Amino acid sequence: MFEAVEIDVALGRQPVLRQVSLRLEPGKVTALIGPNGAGKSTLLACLSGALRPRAGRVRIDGDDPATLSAAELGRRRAVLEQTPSASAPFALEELIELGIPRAVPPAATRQIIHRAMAALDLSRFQGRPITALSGGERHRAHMARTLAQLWAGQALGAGRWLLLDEPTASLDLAHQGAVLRAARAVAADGVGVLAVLHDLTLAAAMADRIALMQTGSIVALGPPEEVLAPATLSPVYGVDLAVTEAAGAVAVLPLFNATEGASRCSSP
Amino acid sequence: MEAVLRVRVGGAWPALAGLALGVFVLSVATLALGPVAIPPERVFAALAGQGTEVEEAIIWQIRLPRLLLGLAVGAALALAGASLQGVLRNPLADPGLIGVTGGASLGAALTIVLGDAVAGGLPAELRTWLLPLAAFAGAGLVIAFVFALARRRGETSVATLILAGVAINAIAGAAIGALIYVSDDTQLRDLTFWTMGTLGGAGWALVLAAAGLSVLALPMLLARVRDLDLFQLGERAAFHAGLDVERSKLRIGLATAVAVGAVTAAAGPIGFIGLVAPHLARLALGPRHAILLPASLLVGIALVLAADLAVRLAVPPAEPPIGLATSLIGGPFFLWLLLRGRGGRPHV
Repeated sequence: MFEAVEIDVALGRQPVLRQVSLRLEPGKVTALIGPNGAGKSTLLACLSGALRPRAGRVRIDGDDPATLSAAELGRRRAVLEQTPSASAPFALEELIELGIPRAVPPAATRQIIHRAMAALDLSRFQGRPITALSGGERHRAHMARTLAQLWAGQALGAGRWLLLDEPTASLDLAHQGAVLRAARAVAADGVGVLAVLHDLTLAAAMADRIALMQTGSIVALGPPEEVLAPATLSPVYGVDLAVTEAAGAVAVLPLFNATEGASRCSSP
Repeated sequence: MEAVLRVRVGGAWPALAGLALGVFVLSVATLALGPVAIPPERVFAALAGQGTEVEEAIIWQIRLPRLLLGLAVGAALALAGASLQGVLRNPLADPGLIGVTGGASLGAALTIVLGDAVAGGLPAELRTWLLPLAAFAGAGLVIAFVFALARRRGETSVATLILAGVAINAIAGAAIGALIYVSDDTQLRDLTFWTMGTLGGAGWALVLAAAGLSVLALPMLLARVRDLDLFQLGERAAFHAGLDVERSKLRIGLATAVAVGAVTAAAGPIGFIGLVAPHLARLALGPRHAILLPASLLVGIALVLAADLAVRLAVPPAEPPIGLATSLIGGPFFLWLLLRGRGGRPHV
């Protein structure tokens, strides 16, 4: 079990999270949605152990992340940061290998690297320095590194949680699909996944549950068909929305209005 | 893919072997060349205790401690530079630039000028260690201070750290100036020569102390190659990937302070080795620290021994300070790095 219970976070005197509780379930994908500044990344940082909440508690498999070593946390959960980067021109495989602890034997390491490259459609770039890849390809390379860390954790007897902060930002449609399938596949293996997403249509396709955040609180939590309702979303985003179904998939369409939308967006 | 990785890692071994050979040749040259040239075979004879009295005196009393100090200086400064550049993800990080050398210099200068007054009663064996210890304390204080000052929301701000280093350098420079003002003629002479940097000024005792401390510190840095690779992702992501970021920074900072303090105490402040050696190694052999650290170490030693030979052979028997040579090479190299960055080519 991986949960945050009634956590409070403040940056300076500004409260960022207020009494937030969220529990991830093994084998399920939870999407975290909400407007900019709602506290999605902060919640993710509290779960990952990078940020300690001021009040409330976080438990990963029953333990407080603050009491676990970074290495042990790295085995239990893998994290894709919002804007991942590497300041050295590693080759693609070298970057992916950074996610894999040395405790994993070399043969298994090579196998995991292959699998991660294949999962994100990167195999043809092997041997290339990541500086020679496009922005979207580089983002996928970091996603592959995160998956490799998760699988390495599984090889070491853990690896049950995956946290993704905007994994599809800067990706084209086909590769958004690749990330979606990768997240669903690890969930099918029993991993609990949390993904911060901005694309609500993608959230509908990826998630078993959706948590909607607004100004530091979770204001709606439930299955996609329940949360993705215009009456729930419109007041939070300040935009009129239509939810339709096409070919069995749910699509959320923002109804932008160039003349009067601006005034509605400015209200919180 | 396996083949690719093996080429990248395996491809480095001939280069490393070549560098090691270069270091060996320069080492023999350091022992052989000078006002009295001794042919290599006589050098080895003297080392084995089968040379003439003069040869053995020159080798054992003058050139061998000099070589040993050169090895320690090159290895310590280059590894410290490569490690700091790795932790800070910034190619400008150099022990000199961020004030570590300045702190070590101030510690050493304090010992040279005030050592007699404060610790005059100590036995000679202990006083040998006073200089490297004071330099280590200065280096360690500066490293702890700049890293603490540059910490913002759990991440290290490199810009703040480098600016703090600039300020520390100014303060250390002023303090050393004040020490010059109060020192007597002998101290002034010692201090001036020490400040310019030389491999020839230290006796066996100080050389052994510096080399010993370096030998202690360098494996601590060489053991951190995976940490340094992970630091390239940024501190937050490195933590997510399983690295205890604060403990790793502490270990690297401590080892850097010991290494830089030890060699600065014995040889004086020698600039640019910590900047140039890792850059050259990175340009030739790529960013992986498992290769970068040993390569930087060898390049650093080669640069120091070559600079020392250059100053010794330039206008014999006069011996300009080695700091002049390294700054003469390092300054233009630094400018070249800046100009290269402007060209828009991918930054290495």
